[in-house]
Amino acid sequence: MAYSSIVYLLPFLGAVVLLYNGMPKKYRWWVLLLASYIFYWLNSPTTLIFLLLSTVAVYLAGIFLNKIQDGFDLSKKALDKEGKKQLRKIVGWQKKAVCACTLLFIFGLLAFLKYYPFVSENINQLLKMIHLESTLPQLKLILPLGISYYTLQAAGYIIDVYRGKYRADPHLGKVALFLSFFPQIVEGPIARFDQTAGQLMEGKRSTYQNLTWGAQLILWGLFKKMVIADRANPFVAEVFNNYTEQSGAVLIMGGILFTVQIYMEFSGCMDIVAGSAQMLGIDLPKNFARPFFATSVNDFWRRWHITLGAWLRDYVFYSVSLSKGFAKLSKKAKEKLSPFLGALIPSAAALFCVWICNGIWHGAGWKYLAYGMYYYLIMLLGMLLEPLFARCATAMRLNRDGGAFRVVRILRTCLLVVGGMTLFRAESLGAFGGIVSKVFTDLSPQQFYDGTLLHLGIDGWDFIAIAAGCVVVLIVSILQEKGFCMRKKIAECNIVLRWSIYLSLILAVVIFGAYGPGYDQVAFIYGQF
Amino acid sequence: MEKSKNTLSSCVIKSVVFLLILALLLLGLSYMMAPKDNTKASGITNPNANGFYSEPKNSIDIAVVGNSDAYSGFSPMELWNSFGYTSYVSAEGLQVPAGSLAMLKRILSCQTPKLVILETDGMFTKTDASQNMVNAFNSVLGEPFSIFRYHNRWKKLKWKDVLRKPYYTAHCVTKGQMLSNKVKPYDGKEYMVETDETEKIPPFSMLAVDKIIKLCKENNIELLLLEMPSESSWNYKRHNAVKKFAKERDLPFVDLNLDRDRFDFDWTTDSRDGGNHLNTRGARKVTQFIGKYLKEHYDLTDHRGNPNYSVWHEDYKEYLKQIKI
Repeated sequence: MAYSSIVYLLPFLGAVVLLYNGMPKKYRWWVLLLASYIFYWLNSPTTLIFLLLSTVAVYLAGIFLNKIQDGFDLSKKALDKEGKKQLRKIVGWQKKAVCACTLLFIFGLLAFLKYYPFVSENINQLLKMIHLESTLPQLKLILPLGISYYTLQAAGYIIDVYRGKYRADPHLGKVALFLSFFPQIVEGPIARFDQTAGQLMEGKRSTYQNLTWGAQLILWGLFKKMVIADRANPFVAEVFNNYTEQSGAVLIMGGILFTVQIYMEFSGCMDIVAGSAQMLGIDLPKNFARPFFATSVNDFWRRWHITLGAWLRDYVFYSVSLSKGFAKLSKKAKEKLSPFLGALIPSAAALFCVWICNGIWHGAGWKYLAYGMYYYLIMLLGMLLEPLFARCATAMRLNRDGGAFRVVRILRTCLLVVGGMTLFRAESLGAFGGIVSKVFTDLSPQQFYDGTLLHLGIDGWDFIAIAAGCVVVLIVSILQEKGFCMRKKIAECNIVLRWSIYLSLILAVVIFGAYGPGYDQVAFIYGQF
Repeated sequence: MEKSKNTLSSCVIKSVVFLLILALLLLGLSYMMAPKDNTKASGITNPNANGFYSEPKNSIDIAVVGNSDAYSGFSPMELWNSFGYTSYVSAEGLQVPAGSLAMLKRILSCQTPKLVILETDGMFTKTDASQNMVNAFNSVLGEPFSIFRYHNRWKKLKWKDVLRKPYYTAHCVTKGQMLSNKVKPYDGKEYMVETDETEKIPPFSMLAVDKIIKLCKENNIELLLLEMPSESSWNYKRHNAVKKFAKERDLPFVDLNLDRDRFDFDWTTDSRDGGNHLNTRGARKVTQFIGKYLKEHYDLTDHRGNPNYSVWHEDYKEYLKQIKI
């Protein structure tokens, strides 16, 4: 049941909204929990057990951490300073052990189900290379729906409890709902417990504004997904599935259109899920903030898949860069090398861990690791060369904050992102190598305009529809970037204009959407992770 | 002021008015975007299956609906030449019963068949909930809201076509049959191995066939359930399931996968794709058998001597040229 399917949007979401609002306030969370588990069961019945296991594991671990903390709080009153110190140390170790075991369990499930086939295949190849006959069995494992998302939410929850950000919740239903909430379970956003759990349990009635604004957001998401992303899909599939037969020009166009496709699709999906949640009076954290206005790759990742970036920042980057070992290393580097390197080394090491995690989170394969390393190297180079850039800019009297320079930086970032997305979409690392080689050895630039592009799964009209859709999204994005809240602005218009806008958008989806005869339903790309 | 602006009743009224305007716009657009002819160039889906639109009004006595097994195995021209019955095959690839229901409604807009033949294989096509909803919508509101089927015609829409009334000009000589002289034998084991087991018919299929039954009753049309020979899509469990279904509803069911010697059927010469679909030779044999069955069980008119149907004789000549047998 894809979020863009009619079954999800009409009977499922419609029934949930009606039931939710029809229930007494204190039982509304039950409707959400039940709906979330039904949604999960309908989509992936055989893997529901893994969601349950992770839920019970983090719930029990949280309760255990509470008990350890409560025991400490109770005992410390009777102890002197030294006794408190000793006890704190013991309690610290106990909490660390509970947290580590829980993380090991939930990440173990994820690692086994997601990475075992990749790891075993590579180990077997290695064993074959050194002429050893023993092999690891090849298992066909089903990846549980949304495991990469709910595992990060579960891990974030238990780490926050361990760090003392908040106490673990004694309510199993609340933890279960936080991890399984149906709009988020397939593609995120990856929420923190203190961001959504309270709202989920609050049972706030849907207001007229919630319902209409939520519906508008869903409509906007459908526009991005069906009019732009799904229309671009046949071209992207044709180009990347047969990359050996394409020229460099076609492959460049494939990379650009895939970048457009994945943005429209992922951000469109986030609009649909945020709209669904809003109809229930729940605000989900934002996952996109107009990433193609980013002036650097760092900036891009602050605007793209925001909740993943924030998760990696809070639980990987800070954990590594602020660890005692790196603090010592940084101090030594500052003393013996230079203050610049002293600051750079822990950041570079922490970034390395972040991008390794980012890469493998997206999938089990060398290309995903390479994808992480691609961005790591760009960021590392940026950090290393920043003093040089600053000096050059000063010498050349360039205004780095000026409009023209900003446009250049945006274009440069887009170019780097298209490169990264091409790697992401390529069938394998080898295929990406082939694509890059084609771009440099067989560009055939005339194919940009000689009509070749119009015979690769989509025609000229499709290109016009995609371009027009992109222009609409661009205009809205520019207005949003300037601080306009589009839905608020539209709500302030008179009813004729307001309804004309809504009806135009609906009719645009109905007429220009890529669906029906001749189109296969396109699964959400980020739903595969 | 704010409070009165958003009272429940005003919200409901606003929503209803909004939906009404949307429905009217969709109806208008459906009319504008719908193909105004039934030729391939007009953009109509499955022009062969929709060729009945351009047959003279109420001239078709037998309407055949179902999936590719039906348009491969049923030959209206053979039936005409041997029995004088007028028939049209409005089958489509992967047509499920809900699709057959929608098609039958379209047929009834311009024809008054005395008999509907439903090919039963499509009853077992597995569809997900989303497809079921789309199929249900199409079978109930698919015609007035054809924009959902023909929305992609915006690419080829001509202004002169937007507001004109439909005028159907296609002439399908084979009356919906797909001809193929290709021979790819099936030489595997006998697939109709007797068993008491039954395969479950998906509930949504049963519901749609029940709607077809109701529609036929309302229009005084007889309904015959028929299964064409097909090794890859048929078995005894399915036979049992349809037999039981037909018995419960007091409907005739003819399974041509059983006793194939009755019509001299030979899998080594009569299939175009190794046992899934029939070729023209297979269709001729099968149709002769169906014709005899229809003659025995139904009161259908032989139109061969009627000058109003002379074009069917011309079509038969053209059909013979096309089948090249």
